[in-house]
Amino acid sequence: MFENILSALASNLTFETVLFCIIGVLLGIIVGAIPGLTATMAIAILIPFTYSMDMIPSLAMLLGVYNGGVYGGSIAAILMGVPGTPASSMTSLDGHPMARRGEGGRAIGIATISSFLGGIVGCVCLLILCSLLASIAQKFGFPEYFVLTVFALVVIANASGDIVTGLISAAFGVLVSIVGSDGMTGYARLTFGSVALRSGISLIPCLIGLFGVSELINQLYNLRDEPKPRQKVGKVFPGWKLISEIKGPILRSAVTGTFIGALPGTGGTVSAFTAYNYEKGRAEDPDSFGKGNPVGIAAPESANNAAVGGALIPMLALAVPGDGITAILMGAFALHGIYCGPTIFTEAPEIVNTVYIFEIFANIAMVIFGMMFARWFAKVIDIDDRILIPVILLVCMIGAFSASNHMYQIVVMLVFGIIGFMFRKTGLDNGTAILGIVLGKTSEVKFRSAMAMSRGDIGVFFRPICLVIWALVIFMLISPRIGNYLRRRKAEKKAADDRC
Amino acid sequence: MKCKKIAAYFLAVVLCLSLLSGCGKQSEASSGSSPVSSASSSAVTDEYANYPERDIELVLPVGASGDTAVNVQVLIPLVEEALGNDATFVVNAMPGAASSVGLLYARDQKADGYSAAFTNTNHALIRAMGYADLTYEDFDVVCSAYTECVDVFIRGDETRFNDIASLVEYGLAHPDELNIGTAVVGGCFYFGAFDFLKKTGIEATLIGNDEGSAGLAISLLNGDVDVVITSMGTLNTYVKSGEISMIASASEKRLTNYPDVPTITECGYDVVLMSTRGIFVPKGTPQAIKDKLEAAFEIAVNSDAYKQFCLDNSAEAYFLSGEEYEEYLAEELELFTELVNDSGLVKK
Repeated sequence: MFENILSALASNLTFETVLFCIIGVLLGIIVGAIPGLTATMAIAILIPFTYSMDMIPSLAMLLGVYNGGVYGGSIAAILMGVPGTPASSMTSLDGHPMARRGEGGRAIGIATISSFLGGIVGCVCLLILCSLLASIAQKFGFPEYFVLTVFALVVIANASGDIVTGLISAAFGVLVSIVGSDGMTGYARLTFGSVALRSGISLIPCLIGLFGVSELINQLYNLRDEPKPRQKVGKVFPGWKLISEIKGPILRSAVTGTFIGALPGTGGTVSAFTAYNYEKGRAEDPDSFGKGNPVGIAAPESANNAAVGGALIPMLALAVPGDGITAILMGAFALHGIYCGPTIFTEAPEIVNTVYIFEIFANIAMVIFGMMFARWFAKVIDIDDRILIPVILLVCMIGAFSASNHMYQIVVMLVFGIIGFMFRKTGLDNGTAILGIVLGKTSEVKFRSAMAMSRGDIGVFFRPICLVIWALVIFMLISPRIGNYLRRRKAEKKAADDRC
Repeated sequence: MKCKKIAAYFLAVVLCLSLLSGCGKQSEASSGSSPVSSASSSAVTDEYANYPERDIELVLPVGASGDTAVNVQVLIPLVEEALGNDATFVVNAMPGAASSVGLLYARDQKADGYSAAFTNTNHALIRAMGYADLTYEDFDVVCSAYTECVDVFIRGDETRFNDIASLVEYGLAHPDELNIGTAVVGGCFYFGAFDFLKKTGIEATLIGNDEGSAGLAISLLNGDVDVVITSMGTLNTYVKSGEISMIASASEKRLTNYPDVPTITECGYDVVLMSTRGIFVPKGTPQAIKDKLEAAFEIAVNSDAYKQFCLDNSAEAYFLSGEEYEEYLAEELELFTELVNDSGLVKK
């Protein structure tokens, strides 16, 4: 296997392919950094161009865009508080506060290193565990997916602090997600007769609204004439000490990310949420999350880039795309006569090896660009808020519009911006709401499909894989509490010892 | 100070880029309605020798990432070449509400030959499903391009049945036992599965969702469903590997790729469900332009490159002239209206 990869390496790494891969990564970073423009869109626009190119360079370029785009989302999340892509929502929670206090360069540095390490772990898993993970993903039927969505929602509702506000936020998201045609019967639900709402409320305008516009409103609300802390651009590289401190969360999140990414239909967003909340629940100082904790950047960034490698697994091995980007990537592959699925490993093994190689190469290009440009990106925040905020708002509007070329998406964005601002003021959690929107409909359709399939037998949710996930749910609920309990007891004991 | 300047430049570049990418797909739409261009097109109304003189907007009423979009990427360069005059189509993907969002937009464009729509069979469902009062009759029909049909799939190692006859026999003997996986409820492939159950009289549970063909393949291999009735799509890789067998196709004649697999009609049940893609233009587009487009699409659709691409992607190139396609569309509309009414999906 490794000899094949080496020979593929020798034949594929030509000047042309490397150049296209680098262009792809750069393009991906730029597109990802603009809120609302996602790698999915960039690939859709690039497909006509790659059609006239040779297969290998176009493959290199598309993988570059994919990796660059997932990473680029974090730049906007950190600098503007507006996640460039859904998967980078969690990064904004700690990245943006860090940037506001003048450490934008450092925050981007942490995001870059974590994305790189996460991406590499994802690649290694893709390389070594592809068939194993594919065979696991293949065992996921409707009941397993339903339990998985329950897992994700429970984890985040639990970790967002107060479980009651967490559940309210999640329920709000689920409510938003069920607007539109009923996934099982086609009935129009909660559309109030609007044709535009028949296809539901799109995620991208919601996301830009809940995270981006609400943050802008918040900044306007707090707009003062005091000068902002100037950006310290000297320290982009976070330093080996910090890296060794956060290597645990990075590795754990990368494994989580790869695994969740490998399950079709969940992808980077869910893995970033899960990783963030797991680390938050596990941390000794959960209160520092959301205020600029480096782990809060490292965990989701590592997870969402690891999910890239993960998502390629079901795409290659099962012809089932793990997320929107792999869906379109599969189409792009088909244009070049590459057909994913169980036959690809025997019919086109060289293609699989090429994918491995450029996955790794794209990650290397990404870390170089990220470290090179972080200090320049960070300078954006030094611009006066009175200029910056309208510009960002404009970018947000364009992003929301281009999600499907409809004006009404901008209205959706603004409405959700106001809702998001009210969420912030009332202590509800925007992140939980987004996850509710991402998972609500999936969860419902999987549940109902499972019930239809089993003729109403609830036992179907307790098949072996489901039981494993249920166990994980319980573990996630209990482990932070036990940890806290042990720490408290230790502290009490210490206090008691001190008294003696 | 210098840094501030650089930052401002950077921001300007980002903004310009985002403007570019935001408007790229849309710019042609706005230029179509500008007074300058409409004046220039009225100047040549009697002579279309130079058609097209500017970009043609092609509305795609489905997402930019689906298999229809990929197919269009292959077809359009061939059409552009056949049309000559440096013809350029600008694809504008406007998905939403069973393709009605994009088609309503396309219907209202100027009938000057510079806007067209690439449609799929979903439009036959728009009125019946209550999305909008819109049918093919609101457009002028140019021609069709390609088609795919609904097929019946079972596990490769299935022992209970191995063809349509034994499947129907088993299904009738075991009412309400089979689970049948299909595409999203209320979409055109779903109605293929629905029609199959109706015509054969099998009582079974239809489980429809939008996991795509390969997703359904996994449900089938897991044993969660017993039969899958949907379009082939990416499921072909599982047929190739032998894990899944295809036992019949709901097409008019046997598929080129699978000459040994009978049609459902051959098996004695009149189920023909094809999703055919074609080209519409706004009503009132000059006949001379429609003829030019039809001729160009005919060359492109019948080219070996396109035919082969379609076959590789579980579809078939399928050219019907404007008149033939219009007849086809009339039958299609009737069939789907009837199926929707029978299905009870829409409350009266």
